[in-house]
Amino acid sequence: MFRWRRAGQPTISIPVPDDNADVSSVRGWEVFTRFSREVFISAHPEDGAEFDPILAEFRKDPHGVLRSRQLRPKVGSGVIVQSAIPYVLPLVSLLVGAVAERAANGALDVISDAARRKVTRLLEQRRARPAASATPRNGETDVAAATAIAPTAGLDPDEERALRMLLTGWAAQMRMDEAKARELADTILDVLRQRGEQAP
Amino acid sequence: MTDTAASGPPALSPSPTDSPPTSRHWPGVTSSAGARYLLLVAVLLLAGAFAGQIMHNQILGTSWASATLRCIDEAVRAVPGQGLPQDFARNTYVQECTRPVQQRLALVSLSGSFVVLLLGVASLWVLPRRLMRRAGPLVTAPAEWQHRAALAASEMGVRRVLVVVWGSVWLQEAFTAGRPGRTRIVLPWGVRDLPPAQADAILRHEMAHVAAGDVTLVWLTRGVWWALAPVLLVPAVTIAVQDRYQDHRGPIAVLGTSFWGEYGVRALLLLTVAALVSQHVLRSREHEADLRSLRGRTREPLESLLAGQPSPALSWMDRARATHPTAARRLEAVRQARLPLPVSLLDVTVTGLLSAMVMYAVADLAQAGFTGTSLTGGPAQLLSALVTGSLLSVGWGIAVWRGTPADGGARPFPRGALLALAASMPVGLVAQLQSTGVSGAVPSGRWPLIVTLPLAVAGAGALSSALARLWVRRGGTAPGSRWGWAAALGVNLVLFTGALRIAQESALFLHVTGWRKAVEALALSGMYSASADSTTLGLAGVALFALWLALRGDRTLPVPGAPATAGRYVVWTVAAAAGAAVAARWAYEPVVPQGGSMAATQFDCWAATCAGLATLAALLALKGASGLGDALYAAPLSATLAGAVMWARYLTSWHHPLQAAALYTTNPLSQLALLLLALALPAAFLPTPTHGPARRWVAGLTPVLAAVLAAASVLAVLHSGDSLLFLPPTGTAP
Repeated sequence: MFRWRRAGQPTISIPVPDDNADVSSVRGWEVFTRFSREVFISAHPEDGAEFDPILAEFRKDPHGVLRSRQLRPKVGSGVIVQSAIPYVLPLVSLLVGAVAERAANGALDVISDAARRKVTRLLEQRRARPAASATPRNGETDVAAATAIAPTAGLDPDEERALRMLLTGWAAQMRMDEAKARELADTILDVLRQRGEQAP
Repeated sequence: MTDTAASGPPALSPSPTDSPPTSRHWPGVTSSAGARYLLLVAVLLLAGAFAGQIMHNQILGTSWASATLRCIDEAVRAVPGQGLPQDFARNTYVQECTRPVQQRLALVSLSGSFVVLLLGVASLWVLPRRLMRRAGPLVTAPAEWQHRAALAASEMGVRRVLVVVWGSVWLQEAFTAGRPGRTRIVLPWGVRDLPPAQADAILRHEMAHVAAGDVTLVWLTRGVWWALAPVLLVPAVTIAVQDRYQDHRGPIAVLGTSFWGEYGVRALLLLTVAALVSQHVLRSREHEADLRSLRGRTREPLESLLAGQPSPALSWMDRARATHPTAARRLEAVRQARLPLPVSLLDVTVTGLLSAMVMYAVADLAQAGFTGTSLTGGPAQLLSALVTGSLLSVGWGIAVWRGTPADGGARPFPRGALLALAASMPVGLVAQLQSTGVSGAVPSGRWPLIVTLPLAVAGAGALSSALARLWVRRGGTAPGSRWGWAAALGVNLVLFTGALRIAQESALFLHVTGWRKAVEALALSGMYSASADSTTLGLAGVALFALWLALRGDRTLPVPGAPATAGRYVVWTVAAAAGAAVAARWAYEPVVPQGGSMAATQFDCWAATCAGLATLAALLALKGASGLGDALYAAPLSATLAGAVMWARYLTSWHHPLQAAALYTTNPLSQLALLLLALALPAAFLPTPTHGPARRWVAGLTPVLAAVLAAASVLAVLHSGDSLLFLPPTGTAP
């Protein structure tokens, strides 16, 4: 009778960054961490401090998001208010995995090679500069620091649409609320676009 | 994404949802959801008592049976002979002799309730803690959120300081929980992404639950439900183990008997009904919290939140199991913006069902516990009526009083609800756990009770509704002050307790006399009842309250000859009915073979009763169901007036004039109380006639009608011989 509600178990598989990949590769944790931090802070500006513990948890158990129960107590208000926080890292991981051609679920058929190359280049802008750490210098923002490395072309509207659809679909498979999923997909694309728009 | 850090609580705005005032006094009790929770807890606790009774029978049953048999043998030897006095003396002997074993039975039974209560209360600490742990890790929210909660609390009259905490990132709904005295509001992280007004709407919704006082009741109900299941299993497990090792019988052979089968089915039924009722009350409280949270606020933020929620189509099973109303239903209720919510048929059905279970179980326990004391019999029945009446006075009375709109009493009576109340009580009597193994016959006469109980309780419900309409029509608003609520509770308590007691007594007499002599049974449980004094006091109290309401509205009681007022015809009707009844009584002297002056006195009392009855009938004929409110004070007035005139006729002849005056008051009023209860339900179904321009003529004819009816009914009674008389050897006579 009085139990937490269980939703159906999602079937999606989350590709995780490669521990052995080169630090500057989109396949590694460095680029993933930088990009997901940007997305996280953009989505939850006041919760920046939460990123590191959540990342640590994700590294420990990347598929935890799929097993976690969505908690809706019987004595709850009846108004579902979902937080996007637990979905940021898995969704970014799926995106990074897709461009690194590690994603399954037909993702590779949805986004074109050209789009994948563009996203790869946009992500590569987050990689650490060879002579410097990932931490920006005093007075220099993280974004500015990364942009200074290798400006590149942005995604065109069709490619963005396809990517948005892909991200929203993944989020829905992770039992994310539809509106919230669209919102998070838009945030990811916004963060991605920031580099593209700054390209010549 | 919204920067909530920069935002404060939204300013107060004029509310489009201002609702009728609701009580801040005893919020948990005067809330209809709270009352149903109390009923549910009472039923579950009493089911625990039945488990205790079975345990008693298993462990101490042999000694109880031998003690009872010994007492019966002793009684037969101590009081030989045949006849009513001897039977009475033997019964008294047995009662006194079996007192120790009966009281032991009651105590062991109550220990079952006590265990359920103990586990239920313990769960007030365990269940919320378990929920908090699963919803955590919990982190105290920043000061800004505490400030917002404090603001909402002060607006809703919550004096306690509630701490706001964040749940885990997986938490999707806000909730309020915690051990007693340390309630906390747990918010999901997603609330921080909401616009401030919407976040406040969620906070206020949770605070509204605290303001309604239902948080502890919810947890207590859940705890008692969880506690009852294992307690109900204990007797079955004990007997299975006992027989396994003592008689070497397998559990299937032991538990496969009809008793245990019936016990299992009834226990499952009770737990299922309790679970469904609990879910239903959970849904009701969400509506209450929504509407309460909107007081003094604009409804748009809550509307937007609800509009954004999924509202899937649900099957009836899903709807019954749901803990929340659908978002669409909540949205509809918010837009209707009516607090209190009208009483639904399901609410009333639940109230009736549970009340019947409580009454029977308490009566059973009290009879056992009071055996051999001066409290056995009537007082035990009165106790069960009082307990059940208290629950009904809140579950029906207060809910209906709060739900009666201040529309001048123009809306029809809650007829569907009255029928639901009447229909659910027999179901409760038949389906209760305590009926296990006694489906064939019950000493107190269950089948008559199945007829009298619904009629009397629904009658009390109709009279309660009539008083509520009188209240809002004359007073303008629902009871708002502490005294107003106390008066409303008190008058409902009197109505329902009286109705239950009269129903019990009528059932007993019907069981004795049989249906063919139903009129005798009604006279024995009315005018000639041992409880006539208390019934008269109850009716007098209700009548005075109704009269006060009538005076409160018009400020002056219209008297004959005074300028035309809305209530002038009522006074004329009272006077005409009383006058005609007295005149008919004096004009015709019946021939009665025995009884003499005692018979004359009883005929006088019946004539006074007829005056009251004629007043009731005339007012109902004039105003339909709406006349019930005025009849509540006019009919007793008429009966009292007629009785006083007939008593005054022999003023110089009475040896004990005060005793005679009491007799001339209590006899007619106690009979009238029974008749009012019996007729109130059908009266509530009368249409309200619209007389148009002829209204004054029709109103003028009402006293004439009352007089004709009074005279005719008095003559009919006088002509009926001694069929309505009860002539004991001695009595008060002129």
